[in-house]
Amino acid sequence: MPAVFSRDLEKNIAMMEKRLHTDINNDVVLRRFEAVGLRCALYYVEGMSSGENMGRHILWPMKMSRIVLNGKNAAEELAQKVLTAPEVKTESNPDKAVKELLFGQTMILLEGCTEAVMVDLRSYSRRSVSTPQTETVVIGPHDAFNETLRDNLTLLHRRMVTPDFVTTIVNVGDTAATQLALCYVDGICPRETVAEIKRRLNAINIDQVLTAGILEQLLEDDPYAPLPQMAATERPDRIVSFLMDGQAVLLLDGSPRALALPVGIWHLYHSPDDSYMRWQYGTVTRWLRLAGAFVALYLPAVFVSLVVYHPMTIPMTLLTSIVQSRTTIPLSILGEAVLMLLIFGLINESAQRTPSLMGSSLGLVSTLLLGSAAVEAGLVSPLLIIVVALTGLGSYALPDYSLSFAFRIGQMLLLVAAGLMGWSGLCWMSLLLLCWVASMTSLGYPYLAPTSPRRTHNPDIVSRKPVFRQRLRTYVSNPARMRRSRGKMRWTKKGAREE
Amino acid sequence: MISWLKRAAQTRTRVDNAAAMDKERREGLHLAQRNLCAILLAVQLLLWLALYCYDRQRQSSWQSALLALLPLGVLAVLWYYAAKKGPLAGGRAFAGLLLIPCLWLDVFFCMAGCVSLLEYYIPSFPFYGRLLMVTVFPLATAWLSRSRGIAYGLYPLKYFLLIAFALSTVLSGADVSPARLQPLAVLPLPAMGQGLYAAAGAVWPVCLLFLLPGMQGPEGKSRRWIFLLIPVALMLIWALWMCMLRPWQPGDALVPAQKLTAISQYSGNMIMSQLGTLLWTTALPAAILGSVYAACRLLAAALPRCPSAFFPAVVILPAAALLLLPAQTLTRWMDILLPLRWVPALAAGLLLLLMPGKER
Repeated sequence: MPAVFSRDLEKNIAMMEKRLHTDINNDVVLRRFEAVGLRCALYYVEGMSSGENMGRHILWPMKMSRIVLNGKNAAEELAQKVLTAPEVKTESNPDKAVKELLFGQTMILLEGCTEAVMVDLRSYSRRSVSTPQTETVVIGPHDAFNETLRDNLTLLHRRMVTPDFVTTIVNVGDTAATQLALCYVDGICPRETVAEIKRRLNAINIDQVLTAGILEQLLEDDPYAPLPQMAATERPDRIVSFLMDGQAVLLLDGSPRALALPVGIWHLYHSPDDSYMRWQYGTVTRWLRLAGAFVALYLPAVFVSLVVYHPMTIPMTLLTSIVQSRTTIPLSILGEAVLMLLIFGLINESAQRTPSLMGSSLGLVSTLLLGSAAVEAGLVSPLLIIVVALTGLGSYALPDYSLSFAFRIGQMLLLVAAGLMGWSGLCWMSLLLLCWVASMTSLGYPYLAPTSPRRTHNPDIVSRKPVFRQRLRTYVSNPARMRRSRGKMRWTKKGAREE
Repeated sequence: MISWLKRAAQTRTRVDNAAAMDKERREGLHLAQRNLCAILLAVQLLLWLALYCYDRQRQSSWQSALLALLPLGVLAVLWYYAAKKGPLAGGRAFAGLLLIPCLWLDVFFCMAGCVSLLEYYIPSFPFYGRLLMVTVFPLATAWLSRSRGIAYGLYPLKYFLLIAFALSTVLSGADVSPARLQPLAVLPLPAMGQGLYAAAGAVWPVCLLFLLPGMQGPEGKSRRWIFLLIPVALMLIWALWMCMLRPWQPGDALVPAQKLTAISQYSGNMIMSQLGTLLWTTALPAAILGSVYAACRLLAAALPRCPSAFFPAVVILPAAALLLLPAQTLTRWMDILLPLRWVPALAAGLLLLLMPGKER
């Protein structure tokens, strides 16, 4: 039987004491007072509500009011006639009321009333909107999401000035619930996509969802697949572009990254800068990035394969230089390459954990490890250092952090296969990874689409056409709203818009 | 002209409702399947040319390639009408099972090619390691990529394979001369018969182009003939280039890996010569995976209640077991068995033609 509020205020206070452990929990504040002809109890979580606003919008109006409330509808009348706060509602379910209270709302219980009045006066310390930490751009906006859901939604609302922009807020996590916002543009995002996301959210059965990373793992199609199946970003402008392309977005309170889904590999390969620049520059940047991705994935494997099994392919002068540089090195070339990539990964990992004050020390150590000291110690050959450095550059060129991580794993698999079996191993491993990735889906949409399988798509995949040629949305949008615009998208010499 | 190009560059779409999107999804799968069948056919034709046709007929591979068009045309026409009778469903799906032995032999043929290349380039690699590699990799790929991953995964590979083919033949810079081509009439009648007989086995994958489940619908028919013509064109180019390359000596004892990379090996450029190897090290695994995919689809159509996870093993393990046989026994039996692949293909086609089906 679901819990209900009693008409007896003392019973309600006792129920709250039991649920909120107010006898030992000092953060939940209870204030008893008399106003509007009734005994009242005010609950709030210390630090979550604004004391000043509480005085202005609750205590002052209630104390000063000459209205005398009585009976069952006291809560409703209080909300409508007395309180001056902009967001006030009544709640008859104590469980929901407690949850709202813990999310930062202020709760008022009244004598003789079986409903609680919930007043939204949330005000807590939060990080201000700052620049993106991992997705910096040269051109384009420099604001990023922070850890507060409301701030993040505000950032989106400022850009999405359309009544079709829908935000549905739900709670996830059984023991410690976290607020989650599902955002989409009604009509552009297919109804099936929204229904599927809701189905997956309802299936979450876990005590707490702390960050968007954990949420991603709970929602993705295939948790064992090698590549990320959602785009995690801290950039509101990128999220807006996803929304306008028919994707849905999840924002989790406490997480500075939003998740966009469904996505394909090309969504992760694009950077916001590509679209902000003129199309020629954007296209060249993308080709460079693609080259970087191939270098990151294949260069160590191809190098080892060529040197060990197909040396006749290498020009004689270069081969001589490689052989001479390797005369004092005790490791096999495969071992040498694996060692160097591990050191590179270690430096990368420690760089992320190092306080900025110690950054210069880390740089010094890295230079020694990957530089002349390693060569002089006879551990690695100089050419391999160049190969590893190029590989690192290539992986840094990838705009998505998860994708670059996946590429580093793929790079190691390819390296081992090429080191053991030459071209054959390299080709077999490439095909295995390719087919595996091709079998992946994101919310049921093929991961390699629109290239494989072929789908109708905006001409914005590897190359980018001018904006006025990008007439379509992505293949994940609602087919009825696939066209962005009809008629010409740019001024004409005749001076009139033509259909 | 410029305005025409500008108009062509404008994005257009036929997809404006859910039904059109569904249709596009089916078309995407059909396109991937057709591409996969084209890879299978091309690899079998090139393998036949490189390994069997060439050194037997010496400078006559282009005549053999021309003759191969005869059984290929017969099978294509037969399967065109067989597919027209109805989809591969119900009782008709069992006729598709006749092709499973052909797929075993295809997989075996490609595995043998892979093993040979590995043996040639890495002689120190142990035999059982090679065997394990050609067995484990396709099994792992088939299991990880589930049903459609192979078809979708091999689809973008077509550009790479075409470029690698062009670079290892036409653009290889090998010493070729049209003067070395023998006229068709020079070939003696028994040799022509032998060529025809050998070619018949290699052309059988053409029937997959019409047979794979789901490809009999109206979307499956579009551009089907292009996917048939491309492998044929590749075969003719390969045959011409091999004949124009240099006269082969009757006593040339070449290992299979050398035969496969014959054209690129006579290129002056070492990088070009390696591209021939790269072509085969990619095309052979792709063909193995394609055969596995085709077999899985045929088995799933005939035996829908069987767990599909077993299907890849049904194709790969028998082919891998064949590799364990002694080389001499293998050579003797393969000479007989490989050309005979056209028999089940023909029989299945005739059976489907005679069986009742829903006429489209």
